[in-house]
Amino acid sequence: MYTLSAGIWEKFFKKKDYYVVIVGLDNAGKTTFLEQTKSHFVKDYGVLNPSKITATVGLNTGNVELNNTCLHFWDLGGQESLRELWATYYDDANAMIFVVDATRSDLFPIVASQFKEVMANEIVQNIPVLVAVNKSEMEGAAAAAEVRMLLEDDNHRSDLAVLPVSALEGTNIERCVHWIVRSLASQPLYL
Amino acid sequence: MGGVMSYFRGLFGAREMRILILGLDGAGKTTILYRLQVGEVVTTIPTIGFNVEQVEYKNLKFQVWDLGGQTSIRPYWRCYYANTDAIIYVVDSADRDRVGISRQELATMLQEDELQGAVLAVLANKQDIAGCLTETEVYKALGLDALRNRTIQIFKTSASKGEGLDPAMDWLANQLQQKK
Repeated sequence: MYTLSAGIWEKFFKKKDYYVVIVGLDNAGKTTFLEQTKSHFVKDYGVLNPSKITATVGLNTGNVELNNTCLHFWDLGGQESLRELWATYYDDANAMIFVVDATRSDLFPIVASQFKEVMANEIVQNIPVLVAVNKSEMEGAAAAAEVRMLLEDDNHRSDLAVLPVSALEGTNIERCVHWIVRSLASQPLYL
Repeated sequence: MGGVMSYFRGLFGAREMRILILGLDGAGKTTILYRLQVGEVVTTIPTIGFNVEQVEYKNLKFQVWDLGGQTSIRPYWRCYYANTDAIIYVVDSADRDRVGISRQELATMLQEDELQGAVLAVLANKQDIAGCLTETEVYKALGLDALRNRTIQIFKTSASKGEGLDPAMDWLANQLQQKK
């Protein structure tokens, strides 16, 4: 009886920790996306000057608390040689954000093949994936629908969303985070 | 009034950032320290004890500690951990045999409570030597992909040629400015 009530108590009131991995090609805006997220959700956060953000070779972290969930973000380097490292983070990830640079339509074939490769992973197939179509404020940026056409997700069993965002201006960032929280909350797996 | 004060404090950067340079012996820690401070290669001997210098980089003042890396004196690193803002961990990318030891030392170090808030810059040094490990290889060999709660960045450098140090310092300055 104690275990049952303790379990119920935990389900409703315990803070839940989720891990969100941010991937995408280099210079898609992953680090800027994370910085923008932190500036929206973390109180008194001294945001990095976007013009000073350099290519990530390593890991940037960020923790965001929302209601009674805590999202831990891992922002990984996107350069070609670093992409093999992504998979090591999947094991512990509960959700994924895939960032695409909407202005670089020349890179779309690579985006498509990279997304396919990511989606081939069984863990990724079972977690919510949000595709952030970044730099959508720029002239000549592809529409979210156009990017959606590139993405093959036949084996994906969880939620998928494609949202246009502007990491630089902060457009839709909050929406992205709320989508992830909502999607995670609806996963029976993570009770 | 308080706002005005903090404005001026931001302007003059009252607090010096404390940075530790760590790594195995012969990785190039002392060479890096003096590259940063005087901008040239100095002849070094193995450090027994420590070198400490004030380094100014783009209006930011750093107090940089370079600790000796030999096996017998590595246990004393921990005496310097308190109040550290950043760690520069130097690896000899050409020394494939000892990268495992380097990994262990790094793992032990990062478990310390006093270093939980410190940002980590890993320098894959001696990139000028042919056949050395690439930055991705160093990243894996050091087990950095197992670290999940810390901001990490790895840089390829050649302290003797002075390459790659500026991006590393830019990144550190940026991270630390944000922390202030």
